[in-house]
Formats: sequence, C-alpha cells, structure tokens
Amino acid sequence: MKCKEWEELFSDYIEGNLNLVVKEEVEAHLKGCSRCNHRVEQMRTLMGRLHDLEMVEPSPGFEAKFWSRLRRESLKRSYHQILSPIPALAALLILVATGYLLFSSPSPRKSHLISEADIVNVQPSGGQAIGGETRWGYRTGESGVSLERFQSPADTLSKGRTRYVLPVISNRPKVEFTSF
Amino acid sequence: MKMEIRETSQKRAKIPDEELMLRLAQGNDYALEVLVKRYQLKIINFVYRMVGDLDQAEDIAQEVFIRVYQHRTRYRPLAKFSTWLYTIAANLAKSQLRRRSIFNPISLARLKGERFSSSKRGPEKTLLDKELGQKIQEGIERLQTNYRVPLILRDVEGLCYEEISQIVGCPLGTVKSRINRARLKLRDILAEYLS
Repeated sequence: MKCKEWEELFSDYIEGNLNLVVKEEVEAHLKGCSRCNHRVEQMRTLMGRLHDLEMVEPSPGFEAKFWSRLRRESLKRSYHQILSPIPALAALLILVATGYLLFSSPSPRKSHLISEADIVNVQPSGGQAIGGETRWGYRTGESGVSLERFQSPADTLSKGRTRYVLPVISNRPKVEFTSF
Repeated sequence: MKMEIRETSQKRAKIPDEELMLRLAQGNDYALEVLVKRYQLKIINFVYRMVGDLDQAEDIAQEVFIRVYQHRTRYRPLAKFSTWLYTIAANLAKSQLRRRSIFNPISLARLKGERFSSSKRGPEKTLLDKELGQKIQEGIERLQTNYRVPLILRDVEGLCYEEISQIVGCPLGTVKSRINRARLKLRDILAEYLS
C-alpha cells in the first residue's frame, strides 16, 4: 500500500476504531515510514487542539435579544395569519361579482318596483301643477334620478339605458323602471 | 401552568429535551426558556466555528431557536432533539456562507481575526493559544462546507458519528471519510503550527 492509502486509516487508527489485525498493519507501516508517523502525530495534535478550543461566550444580552426577536416574529406571523385570507377573500368577491354581472345582467322585461315612499313631488312649488301637469321624481340617493314630468296615467320616459314606466294611482304615481 | 412555574430550575434541568418540546407544543413557553439556556452555548459555538463571526453566530443561533418555536407542534421525537437542533443550525449556517460567497467573496477571516483579538469574548488565553486558535479557525474556514460541518461536529462538538450522519444526511461511511479528509487537509494547512 502507498502512503496515501495508509492515510485513509489514520483517523480510525487514532480513534481506536480499527480491528487488531489492521491496527498492527498500520503500526508496522508507521515504524518503517517516518513521514507517515510524523503525519499521524500531527493529526493527533490537531484533534487535541480542536477538542480543546475554548468556547466563545454569548454576549450578555443574547437571551433578551432572542425573546424580543421571538415576540416580534410571532407578532409578524400572527398578523400575517390574520391578513393573509383578505386578498383571497377579495379575489373571491371580485370573482363572484364578475360572475354576477356576466350571467345575471337584467333582462329587458325585468321590472323593479320603486316603493311609494321613494316617490317625491319634484314640482318646484310642490303639489299639483297648472293644467294637471305634475312633476314627480324618486330618490335613489344623493345623485338620485329625478323623473321628468308626465301627463298620462301610464307615461313612459327613457333616461340613458333605463326606461321608466309611470302609471298613476290616484294622485300619486306608482313608478316602475325597466333596465334594458 | 402554575405548577410548571413553581418548578425549580434544578428540576427543569433534569427534564429531557423531548419532554420539554412536548410541553412547548402544549403552550408552555418556559420549556423553550430551558432549552435556550441548555443549548445556546453549544449552538453559538458550533455556528461560530462554521461562519467565523460571533455576531453572525449569535444572530443565526437566535434564528435556530425561533425555528424551534415556530415548528414546535411539528416536532416528532424520532431523533434526538439535539440532532434536530444541530441540523437546523447547520442548514442556516450553510445558507449564511452561501450568501456571503455571493455578496461578499472576500473572506472575513482576517477582519474577524482582528476583531476577535481585540474582543474580551475571545476564547484563547495565552498569546500562543490565541494565535493557534485563530489559525485553526482560519484553517477551518478554508475547508469546503461539506467537510467543515462534520469536522466541527466531531472534533469540536464531540458528537458521535451516527448523530453526525443524521445531521448531514449522509451515510456513516461517507461521514467518516469526510472527517478523515478534513483532518488531513487541515493538518496540511496548519502543518507549521502542529510540529
């Protein structure tokens, strides 16, 4: 065997992990090879030095820093756990809304009855206009659509894509509108 | 919970690691305190020998214990707790070394050596020991990571081959071979200091 091959056994030899036969073979080689013998001794010294390396001490604030960091990390993690469903929920809502708009757009025949409470008289002075002409409107919020004037019991007018059907019931109109 | 608080530190010191992990998983944070006290020195030293920088070693050691806390419910005592701990530490240290090789290819060993020598936290007592300790550290840092990890675990930390094999995820024969080669390589690097 060459010295390089004997070297493969050095660690096991030093640590006493070789069986008796191989151990005696190594020792026989070491007796006749000063170079390998020197190297084994160097390796033995090295292992001793590594074993005896003194330990570094943690800085005094190590534990305090750790607990503080752990609290921060836990907080971050819990925020993340709370907030992480929100984007998914938002995406789901958008999906549902898009689906609703795509598949349930109002049919031209579908009418929506506006409650009578929403009907307001939009006559500037209120009440009945001269010649039986009354202006009525309905509220849909701040930017509510005011109906234009109507005369007949079942007048119709269009505003944008919405057609309003305005039948008159007694003195107040019952208003329906149809989207199309 | 109150019972746990009343436990003396002596009693806590006797509780096996795996039992402490079980308690931690059940919400007893005192168990983590015991584990941190028990292992901080070993983990900081192991990582320090890996990366050669005490500040980074402490930072990584803290991250190790944070991972322990975060994965407390997933821990299964199939292997020793210390094996799991060293595995986390080794992986984090290797990641740090990879980042360093990408972002800072200049070895920090020399800079660290100066900083280390002026630090009271330095381990070596005598000038000779101090110099040799520094040379050994520089030599360790010249080893490839897959040789460095098992060498430190075996010769500095004193772990058995079986445990090292589990930590590095290699067969026993490979681990033994790597440790032997790491020693041969390190002996070549430090030859002038070992005679």
